[in-house]
Amino acid sequence: MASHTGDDSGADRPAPAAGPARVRDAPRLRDALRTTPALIVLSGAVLVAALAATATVAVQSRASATTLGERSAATAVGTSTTAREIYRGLADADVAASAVFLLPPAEDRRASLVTAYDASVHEVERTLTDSMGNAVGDPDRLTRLATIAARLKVYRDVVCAALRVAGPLPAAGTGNRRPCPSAGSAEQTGAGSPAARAVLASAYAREASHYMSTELLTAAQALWNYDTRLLLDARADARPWLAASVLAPLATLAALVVVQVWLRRRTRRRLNAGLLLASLGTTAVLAMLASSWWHWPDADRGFPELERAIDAQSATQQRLGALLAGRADVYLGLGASVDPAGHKAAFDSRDLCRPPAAGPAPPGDRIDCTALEETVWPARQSKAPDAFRGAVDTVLGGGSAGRAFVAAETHLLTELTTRNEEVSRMVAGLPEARRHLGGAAAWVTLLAAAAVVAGLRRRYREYQ
Amino acid sequence: MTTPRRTPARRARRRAASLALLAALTGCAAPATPTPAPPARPPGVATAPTTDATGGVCPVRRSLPPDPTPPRRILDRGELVAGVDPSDATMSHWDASTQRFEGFNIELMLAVARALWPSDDPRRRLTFKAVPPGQGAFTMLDRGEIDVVATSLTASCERARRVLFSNDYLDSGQTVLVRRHPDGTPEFAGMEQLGGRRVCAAANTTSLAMIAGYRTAGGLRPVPVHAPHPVDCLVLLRQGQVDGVSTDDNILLGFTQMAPDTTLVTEAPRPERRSCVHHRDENCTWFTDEPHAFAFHLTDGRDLVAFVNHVLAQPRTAKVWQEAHDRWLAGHRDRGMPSPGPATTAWPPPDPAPATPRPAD
Repeated sequence: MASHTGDDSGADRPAPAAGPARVRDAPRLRDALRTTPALIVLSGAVLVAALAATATVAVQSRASATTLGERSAATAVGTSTTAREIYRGLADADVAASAVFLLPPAEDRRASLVTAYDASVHEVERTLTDSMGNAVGDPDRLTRLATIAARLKVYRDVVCAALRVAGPLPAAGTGNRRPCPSAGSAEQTGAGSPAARAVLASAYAREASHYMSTELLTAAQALWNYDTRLLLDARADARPWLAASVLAPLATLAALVVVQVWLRRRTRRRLNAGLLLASLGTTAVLAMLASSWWHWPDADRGFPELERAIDAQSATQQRLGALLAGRADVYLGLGASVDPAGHKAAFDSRDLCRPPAAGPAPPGDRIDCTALEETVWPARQSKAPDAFRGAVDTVLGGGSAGRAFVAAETHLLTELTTRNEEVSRMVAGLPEARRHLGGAAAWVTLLAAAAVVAGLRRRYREYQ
Repeated sequence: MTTPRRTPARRARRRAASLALLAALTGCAAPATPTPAPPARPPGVATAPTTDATGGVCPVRRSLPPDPTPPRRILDRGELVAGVDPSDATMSHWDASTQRFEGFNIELMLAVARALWPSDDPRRRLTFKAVPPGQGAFTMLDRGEIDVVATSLTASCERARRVLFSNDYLDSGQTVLVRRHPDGTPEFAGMEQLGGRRVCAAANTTSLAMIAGYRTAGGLRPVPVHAPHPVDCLVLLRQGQVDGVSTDDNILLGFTQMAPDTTLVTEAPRPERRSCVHHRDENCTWFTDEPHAFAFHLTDGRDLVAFVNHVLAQPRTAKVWQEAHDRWLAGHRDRGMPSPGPATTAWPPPDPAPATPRPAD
């Protein structure tokens, strides 16, 4: 077979008649690279680079392959459960704080409402402490939790200022616990009529509730979104690694075959043992990586359904948040707030009332707003004796509106529990991540690279 | 459910978390760097632009002629609906103990209801609705949701184009509330010290317009901040987010009762800024003239304005006025119940505030 690769180096070609040396050297270099020894070196370099890339993929894809499956889902579901607890605890605290300012300081029930608020805030703080303990390896999550904690302190300070303005509570009424520290030296309280102080206390309560909805609940929701995002990101991140885990060994194998065929034709000899060994090794690497990702198609098929279940869970949680915020609106609007119309508008915008013709099985996540419309919202305009006190009794725990809120909250909590179980069941149904063989595959790839070098070196020496 | 045993690793984690939470709660640096918590603010608080309009309020001290005929539509309906600002300790606020609205404006509205239905309990005939301060209530008046605006409303020429005003029933002036030092002195002596400082007033009020156009003798301007309600400004002042709250003296007087850690400024404005014609003595810190009047619908409210003016002119109402002033505005240094200006049938009045003799000191 006639040489067409320029083994004879092209020395008989006429040199260019004129021009700079660089222009003259370029064809020479091109011809030198077309020689068989040079092509052997070049193909060896390409094969070693391909094998190195395969080894890198084998090692680097490990995290994506293992976090994708059940482990990632379980982590995300576990952490988002905590985020849900924080969100609900904050909304509960807001309801309890808003209820405190419904009643004059002299009312016995006020102390129990302050105790309920205090308990809600401490429950959130306890959950935050536990979550921070579990998030030491996740700086992003820790930052989000610390952000919520810092904002909770601001919220608590505003509520405490309101409590101090409204008037002192008997220590026995709050179980001898002090829900707030004493006033600073600059802050003086306790003067003026109780009614005038109630107006200022209510202004603080309105500010606190606004802060809760604009800063704290949004931060808690962002934490939940972050947790569930981890799961969805794991899926998205894994796809390129899966493709690389299949394509890199396949491409390397193809390159080995091409070089083997070329070398065999070029030298009219038998198969190169080094290249053959490397091909077998690369095939083994392909099998190892395929085994490591074998669970992925099943997991991928299950993810869209899981994603839908998580979205439904989020929607239920936001519905619960809206219900609790609506209850706070009612308390603030009925209390001494300067903006009752604003609170009613906020309540109406949350779409919490059952439609008038709801039928025999009305939606359980909505409340019958008849009592609110007839007696609560117009209570301060009513001319009936004790209309305001009656409205307060209606919205607090034992009243009809209070019971309606509790029933809707119970319904949503039950629904949330069902959704949680659904998500947990789906997570349990995901295929378990298989043992990843990326490390072993990388070693095999290195051995294959050594075989390539040894096999090609022998041919190269023969040419020299 | 059983409680998990506390392993050393778990205890260490808890300790680390407690320290992190403690650091976050005490404002120290947390292990991660969380976004600094923004300060709490009432909804709708913002900085307002300053203006070059420094003319102050153009007061209106005239109204339609009094008429003793009760408005038929009010009598037929059987109730009078008054819009009140529930954040005002002196003028109108909700008292949860008595379950009713109280204050200086409330007493005057009760006098009007008493004149409309002499044989009835006036509270049975009056409905009070909470409305926004300043001209924010005019929309409710336009929609027919209320018959009269009985907030601490300044009768100004600009507003007279939108509503009818009764005769002036209280003279006051704009001044400033600031934080009080432990020794009782104000943190800032007067408006002249508040150049470059944040001063809050309610949105849509003449007070905010005045602050936005104020310039101290040194050429400095206060930074105007507006909130939906004056009491929101008081919250911001106590939280250190503003350095002063500026509105009418009669409102600020109520704020000093709500928050004893605040006080009114003591230094008089510079002479060209003083507006003390209607002030009782020399210790005057007012820098605007603020006649207070009830507001009514521009076209449908003429008969009610005339009737209210008739009620205000009655000696019995003067007695009610004095008793209400003693109870709610004891520290307010006005010169007593204002005398009505000459009646006008043209509206807005062409000569809104003719010189009128004031009651003797």
